[in-house]
Amino acid sequence: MPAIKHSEKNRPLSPRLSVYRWQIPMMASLAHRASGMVLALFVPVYLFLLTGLTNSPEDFSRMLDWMHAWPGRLILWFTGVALFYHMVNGIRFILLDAGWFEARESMRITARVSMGAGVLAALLLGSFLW
Amino acid sequence: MSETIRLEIYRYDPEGDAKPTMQAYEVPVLKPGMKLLDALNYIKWNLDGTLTYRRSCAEGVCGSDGMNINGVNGLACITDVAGLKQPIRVRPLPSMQVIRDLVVDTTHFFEQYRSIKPWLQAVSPVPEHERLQSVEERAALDGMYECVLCGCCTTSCPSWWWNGNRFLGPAALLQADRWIRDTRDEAAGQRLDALEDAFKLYRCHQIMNCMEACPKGLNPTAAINHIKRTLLARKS
Repeated sequence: MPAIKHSEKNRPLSPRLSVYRWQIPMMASLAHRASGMVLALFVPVYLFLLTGLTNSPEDFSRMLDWMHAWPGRLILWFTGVALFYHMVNGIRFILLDAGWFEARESMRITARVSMGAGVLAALLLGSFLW
Repeated sequence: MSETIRLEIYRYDPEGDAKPTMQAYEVPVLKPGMKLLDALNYIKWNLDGTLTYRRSCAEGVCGSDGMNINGVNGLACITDVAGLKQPIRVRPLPSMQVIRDLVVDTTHFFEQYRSIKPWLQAVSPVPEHERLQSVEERAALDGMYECVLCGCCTTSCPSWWWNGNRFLGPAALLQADRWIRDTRDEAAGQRLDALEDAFKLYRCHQIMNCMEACPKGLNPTAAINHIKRTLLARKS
């Protein structure tokens, strides 16, 4: 009898994230979680800025300079876009939870609307900051 | 028939020690409206008898030939070759233990299905005839009873990829909702109790790959949301 391996440990796992084609609703969900993460990570930066701004007049102008230099602007831009996208898509998720837009096509369209709003916010805020 | 179709197919031989590879094939266009399963059959019957995959009815009812086609899950038997970008990359359903080539181990998938008790539970005495439903009550099961348990949705779900041992996945949850909605079933309370769990149900983050993948045009995301709403309504 030929030796047949039955050990499940030897079985490879079929490829998943590396081969799965990106879909717009998938991106919308991932961007929602990523933007939420950005917002949470911004809290310490925000507290750092707040203590800096309220410490002394010299610290205030130092912080002001930093915020108007490119790292400060970049952080503001990033957080602003994250805040806007997270809000728009958050409303979408709440509406879906409540049973709105449940048809397959509506789910696709609303994902496009959220993503489009995020891109638009990124462009507008970018042109405003630079 | 001069036209040919180029395919790249995931191959894994458990009897050799080699790692999985992608193997290229060329198949002639056999007929108008040719399906991907026709191409696989042509390879198996004419080019390479070692190619292994599951198939049965060949018309989208048995749910045997779920696979990853150009990155998205679907049934080979109802997927037109004409609309696919070439080379058509065919892989087994994602995040599954591969037994051989396109054949994956579905044990865990069906265990999860079994765990939602997919049968009618009723304690009231059996009537003399069938347990009747109104037309409206029956219509509430549309979009759920059509599921063929091919596994395309569950294996497309990133939440299930990362937490598949605890998250039940779209297919089992769609079926759970099917029984919760069924007016003849009398165990909705117990069913909901069993589902109210941070992992079993609430790992769904509305990624909606399940909805995009479903070859029967169903919407497991909407079914999962319906279970969540039913749980909420029960509390208030």
